[in-house]
Amino acid sequence: MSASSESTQGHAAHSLKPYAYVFTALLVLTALTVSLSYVDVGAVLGRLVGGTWGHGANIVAGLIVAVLKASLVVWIFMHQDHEEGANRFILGFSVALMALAFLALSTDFVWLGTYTHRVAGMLVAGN
Amino acid sequence: MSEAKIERVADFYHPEPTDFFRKYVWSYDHKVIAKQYLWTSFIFLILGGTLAMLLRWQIAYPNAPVPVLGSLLHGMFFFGADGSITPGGYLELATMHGLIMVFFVIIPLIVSAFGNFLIPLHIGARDVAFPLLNAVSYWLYLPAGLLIFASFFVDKGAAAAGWTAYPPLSDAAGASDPVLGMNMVLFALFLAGFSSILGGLNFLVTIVKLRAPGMTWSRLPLTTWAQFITAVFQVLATPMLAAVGAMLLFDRIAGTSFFIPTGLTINSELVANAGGGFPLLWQHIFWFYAHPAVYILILPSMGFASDILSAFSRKPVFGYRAMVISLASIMGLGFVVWGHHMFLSGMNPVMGMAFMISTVFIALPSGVKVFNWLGTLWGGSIRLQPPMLYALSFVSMFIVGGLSGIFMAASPVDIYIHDTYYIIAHFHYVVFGATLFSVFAATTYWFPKMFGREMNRKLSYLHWGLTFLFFNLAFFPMHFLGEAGHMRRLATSTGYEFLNPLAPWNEFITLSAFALGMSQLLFMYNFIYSVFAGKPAETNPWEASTLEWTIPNPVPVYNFKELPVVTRGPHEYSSPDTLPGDWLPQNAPANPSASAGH
Amino acid sequence: MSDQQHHAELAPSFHAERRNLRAMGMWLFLGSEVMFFTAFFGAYIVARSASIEPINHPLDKVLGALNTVVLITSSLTMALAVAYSKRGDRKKTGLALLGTLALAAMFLVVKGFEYHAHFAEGVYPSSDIFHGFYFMLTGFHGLHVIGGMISLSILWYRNRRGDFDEHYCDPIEMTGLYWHFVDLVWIFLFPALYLL
Repeated sequence: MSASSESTQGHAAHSLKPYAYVFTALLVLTALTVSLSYVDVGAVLGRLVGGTWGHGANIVAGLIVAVLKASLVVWIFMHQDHEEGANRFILGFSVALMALAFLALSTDFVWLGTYTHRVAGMLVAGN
Repeated sequence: MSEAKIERVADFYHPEPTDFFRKYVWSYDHKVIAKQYLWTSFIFLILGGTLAMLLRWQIAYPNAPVPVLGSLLHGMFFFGADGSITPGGYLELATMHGLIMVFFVIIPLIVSAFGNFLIPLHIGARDVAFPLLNAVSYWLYLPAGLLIFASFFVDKGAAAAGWTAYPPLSDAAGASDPVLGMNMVLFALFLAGFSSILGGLNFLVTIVKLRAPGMTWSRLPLTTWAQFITAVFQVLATPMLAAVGAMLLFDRIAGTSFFIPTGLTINSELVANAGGGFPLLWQHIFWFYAHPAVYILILPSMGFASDILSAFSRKPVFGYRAMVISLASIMGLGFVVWGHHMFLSGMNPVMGMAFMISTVFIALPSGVKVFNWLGTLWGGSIRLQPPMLYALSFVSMFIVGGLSGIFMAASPVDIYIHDTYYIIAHFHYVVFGATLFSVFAATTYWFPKMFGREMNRKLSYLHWGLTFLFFNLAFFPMHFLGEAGHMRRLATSTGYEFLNPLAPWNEFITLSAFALGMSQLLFMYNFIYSVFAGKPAETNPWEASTLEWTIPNPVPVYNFKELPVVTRGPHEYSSPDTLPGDWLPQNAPANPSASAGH
Repeated sequence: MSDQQHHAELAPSFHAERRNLRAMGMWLFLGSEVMFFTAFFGAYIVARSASIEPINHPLDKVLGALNTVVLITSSLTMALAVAYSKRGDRKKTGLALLGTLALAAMFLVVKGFEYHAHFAEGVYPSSDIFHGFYFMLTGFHGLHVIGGMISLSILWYRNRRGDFDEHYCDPIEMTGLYWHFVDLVWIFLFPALYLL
């Protein structure tokens, strides 16, 4: 019961300003992610820091922005800043499981894709 | 209710309803809901067992007409015109036997029935956290069960692609595809899964939030700890099944191709779907759920066994903390071993190696538990009453099933024994030998508390003896069959010359299985008779220490007149405090000289 | 016993404690929803990773961005509804709930428009693997929006009836958590399907 006292009883003092800030930030981040989708992030990074970056750079950039937006929603709108540890753990554990599933699936299927590609290439080459 | 306002959630309970409908049909009382699950699951157990008997007939006497049922139902369901079982019918039998046993018998029994009855009593609460949600869970499960049952009656029958429903067999509509039946089954699983998720959620909040004063985490009965860990699997793994089942349903109904590769042909005809999908995808997502599901099938029964072994050895469980850590390890590891079902699927071999390592690791906590059960028995004052006999069988058969599991964990071995009778032997030892025996243990043990009467002991001993004998006669030889290469889901083994020498074994197993099935009539009779006309039971016939034994039979709707204050662990047996008796209840006063227990 | 009678017997401490139980229950439910969408997103990642040729078809980014703004705003109004109900301000709570409902409806209208445009061109879930995922993902998300709208409507009605006060408003708070989750799913859906 302890940590969540702020969000349990009614009390007048809870300010609404954080909501306005988060809302604005979310809109800005949305505009950012849409704009980035028109840009070849890989090429820009190549000019800034050198090296070659493929389309993957756009995907990573998009994901970073999405995670930022999600964090704002979870922390402020969903009051995770006041929630008890158990509820934070529930969310954290679920997200960790999600990451595990994505990791396993992408590992296997990137391998499958490249494997198929290599085999297909070998067949075409007349082996 | 009194004039004073109710201050705490723990004090609240729904008053006892007076009309039949609210008392027995739409009830918020966890004890009533538990019994609803119990009866429904036992009925499905009869159905699932009958399907198995039919399977065994076909295996032992391929294409011979089934006596009685075959002549009655020839041409219908899985029977051919002459009353024998058709090859497609055999696959339907195998599929539905598996689905019904897993989703409509074992999980509802050990989790929903016994979990519902015991969890609030074990933690000293008046009900679960969300009683309305609890009722909803049952009323999602029952329609799901009815839908599964109905799927037998539609054109082309029920699902027939194995309980694992691998595409493309489960997916693309070939001529023999049970179009409607499979869709009904998928939808039923969706409902049952949702019921399971809500139930697990309920149990988790109950155990975290509604423990009585003094009921710390280290004083929980191991039954409760096991239910807690199981509930985590239920809440987090089951949604994957719902999602992947929905994708399969979409492939079948909406023509999508999540699991259908481009260029797939069935009977040399190109499939209508656009393609671009991956059958392997189904396997990954399905087993991501289904492996935790098999832990759902075993963990609660480990909990029952721990508490029952302790009570009938008059000793605390050996290594309580190790038992809890093992449960938690199984939970953590249980999410990262699913690939051991897929060693032959064509997945990335490096992942195969990773899964082999994690699977071998998960044997360790189970091994710890086995040694701790043995340690509990060692030096104990053993009372060989029926619950104890069943619990001992649980341990011995879990050892057999667990050992065979270690062989499969090694992918080089699994390459050979995958999809053979070795696998069937393994999971029947753990799900029947271990879990179902622990269900018998739990039923005979908690029957007095649930129904206020005793089950007939002599009948229980007889049932135990016959079941133990015939179970081992039926399933142990399957290890040898598997090693010899006998495949599973095989309608007629006579088509393979190398299997012909094994035919006598198949017949032997079938006859043992029939005897096993017949023996269950003893339990059925004992259970039903005792519910209505059994000898009235005393409050604590087993002299056990957990909280449910401190309240009268039948348990009143509010469970505890005053919420107990817990001062001891769950296995207060044979400690100096208990003298001159050998046990104390968990809420006995902390000062030992103030009350000696009996 | 009616809701008001039942409510009158429960002390504020009861409501506070029950709110915590319900919050944990809702977070567990959201955890299960995370896993539910994990399967779909995971499958989509698979389809993108394993295909040698790209599988994406272009979607209307403008409409997608518009819907993103709509949902984000609905999250704001939802958060406001929760905050106002905690202050006991029945009128503002009702307005905020109504705003959330209206924005949710707008989301569905835009989505409906997009679906219609697809169907008019003869593009269906069965047309190719990308559209299979598009309709599956947005379809389930849309179902969750509809579920949220049903809940919001009930809340609006109950609020008007005077069921809630500053001690007892957890149905609004719990629906709020659910609604923000629906927004969260879209925050990932939008780039995954429309932008990347």
